[in-house]
Amino acid sequence: MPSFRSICCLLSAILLTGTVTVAQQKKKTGSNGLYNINEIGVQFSDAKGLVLRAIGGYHFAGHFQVGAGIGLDDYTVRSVPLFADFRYNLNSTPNTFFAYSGAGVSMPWPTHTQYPDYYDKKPDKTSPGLYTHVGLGYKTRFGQHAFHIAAGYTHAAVKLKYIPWTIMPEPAPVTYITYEYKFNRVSIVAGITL
Amino acid sequence: MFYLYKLRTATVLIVLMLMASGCLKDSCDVKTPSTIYKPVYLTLNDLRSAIKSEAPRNIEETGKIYLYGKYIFLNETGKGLHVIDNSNPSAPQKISFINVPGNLDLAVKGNIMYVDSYIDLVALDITDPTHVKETGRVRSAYPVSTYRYGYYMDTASLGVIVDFIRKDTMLVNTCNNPAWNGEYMYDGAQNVAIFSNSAKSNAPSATGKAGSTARFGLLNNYLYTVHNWYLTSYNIEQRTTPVKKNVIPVNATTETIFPYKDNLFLGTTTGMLIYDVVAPETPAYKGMYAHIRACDPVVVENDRAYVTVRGGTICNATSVNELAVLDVRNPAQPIPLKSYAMTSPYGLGINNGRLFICEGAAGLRFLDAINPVAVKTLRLLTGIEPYDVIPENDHILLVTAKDGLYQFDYTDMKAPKLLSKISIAKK
Repeated sequence: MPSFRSICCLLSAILLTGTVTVAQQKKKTGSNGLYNINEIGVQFSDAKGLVLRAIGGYHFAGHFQVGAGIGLDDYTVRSVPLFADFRYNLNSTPNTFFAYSGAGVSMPWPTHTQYPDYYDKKPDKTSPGLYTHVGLGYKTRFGQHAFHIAAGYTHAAVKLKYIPWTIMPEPAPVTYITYEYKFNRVSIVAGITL
Repeated sequence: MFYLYKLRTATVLIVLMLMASGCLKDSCDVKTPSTIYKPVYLTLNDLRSAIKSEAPRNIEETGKIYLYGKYIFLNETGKGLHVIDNSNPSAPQKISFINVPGNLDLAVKGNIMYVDSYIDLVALDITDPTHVKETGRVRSAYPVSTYRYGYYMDTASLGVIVDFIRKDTMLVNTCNNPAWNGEYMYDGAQNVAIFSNSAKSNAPSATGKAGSTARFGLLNNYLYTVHNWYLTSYNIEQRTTPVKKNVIPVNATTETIFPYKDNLFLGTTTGMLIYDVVAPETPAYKGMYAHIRACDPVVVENDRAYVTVRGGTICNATSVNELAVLDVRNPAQPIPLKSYAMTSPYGLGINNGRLFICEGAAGLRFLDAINPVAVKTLRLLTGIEPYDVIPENDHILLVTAKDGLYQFDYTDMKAPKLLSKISIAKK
């Protein structure tokens, strides 16, 4: 289980992103400006898990949104995705469908119950992998803010590495046994744009 | 209406995505840097036509030694025998190499040398050591070897395993696969084993062949050999053509044999076993000294058996390292006389109360054993890492060591003189 401090740190980063972004400029419908999106959702595949995402960026030309995000991907192996995010509103109207995509890295952060079955050992090393997401959604505005739901595909990859136990008493070169995870999921999220 | 249309569209989209989740799969692969060892076979025809004298070659790994007149035969483990002209012990000369694939041991009676060649026992006429001739062969004298980690030597169709090809690879398995122990995998169809690099760095070895330096013993007109759990007798009245007689099971892994009077002293992993050869073709069990679990040769002189016990081996996992002296006047009931602490004893030899013990990295020990209950070290020679020793005549000591073959003059046991050294070629 992560420490309480770690969770508070991550949530603070997510919320701070929105606060700072909103403080920059008051948005108007169809106008350029900074934005913050906070999302919460679930992901399905062989397993299921919760996902949180916070994205901050710039909205321009009525359709485009470009930003960067951080998240908490609580799946078979928990991870923290860091990603670039792109959104396209199909219409300039307040309520519209939109498409989104993003890519970045997935930083592994496993709990002890998520360690592979390797002598109950904590990994000696972890390595990030690719994170991507793509999908469609629908947003509806209320005042200066917007609410949306979206569904799409999310991919995350992480590696957990172990220096192996030796079964022979002779010296052996240091190599890693690597557990490579690749998660391919459907994600359904609800979010709010500030 | 338009609003409802959009909501319906969004709902359908979400439902479709939920259904699509059934098409998606997660994956987890565990990747282990590994080494594949693939056996290399020598056909039986090639094996049985391979023995011949060749030009001298470098010594790479010393094994059993035997002094025959002015010649030294030095086993090159698994490959054959160096023939060394020792007319001048201060300047021995390699004069030829006898190619004997799989050779580990030898015994000589008259001008006939008996050698093992993987699964066969071969008789060689060494009248002219530089041009030996095969005079007889007992085919399949020894059981087919089995190897660690599941290798099986398919002798009948493929021949004998003479080497392994090593290839680095990455072993990939599904995570948490209960069929794989994570350290190695044996592919029975290919007869290859794949080891994680942390688990194994050397090629697999045949079981039962670790550490032995005296597996052949001659007594009267019989040759006795030990191999794994068996004692085999061969009639060599017709010296050029040995005849296999009996295979006697031994309830232990046998490593060494030492004939003495009408008895055979066997060093095994569970104790020193004693067999009599009153019926020479069928040695009979007489007694055992269980305290000693010996991988190293037993030597006997004047009804006193001298046995080295080395700790930290497959024979003795304890930390005990000692020389044990036993009274074997009644071989059925050996009586321990005394034990002496050693450092790391390997092979030993004795000649008229002068005892020599190889202590590996600790050196070569020269001992006075005139009084078996008061054996004392006269000299511990360091700077040499010996494993086997043969005292010949009354003053020449042949020693196989990690870095070569040594000869000492031990006339003065407190100050042995190095006469010569033939070095092992660096690989």
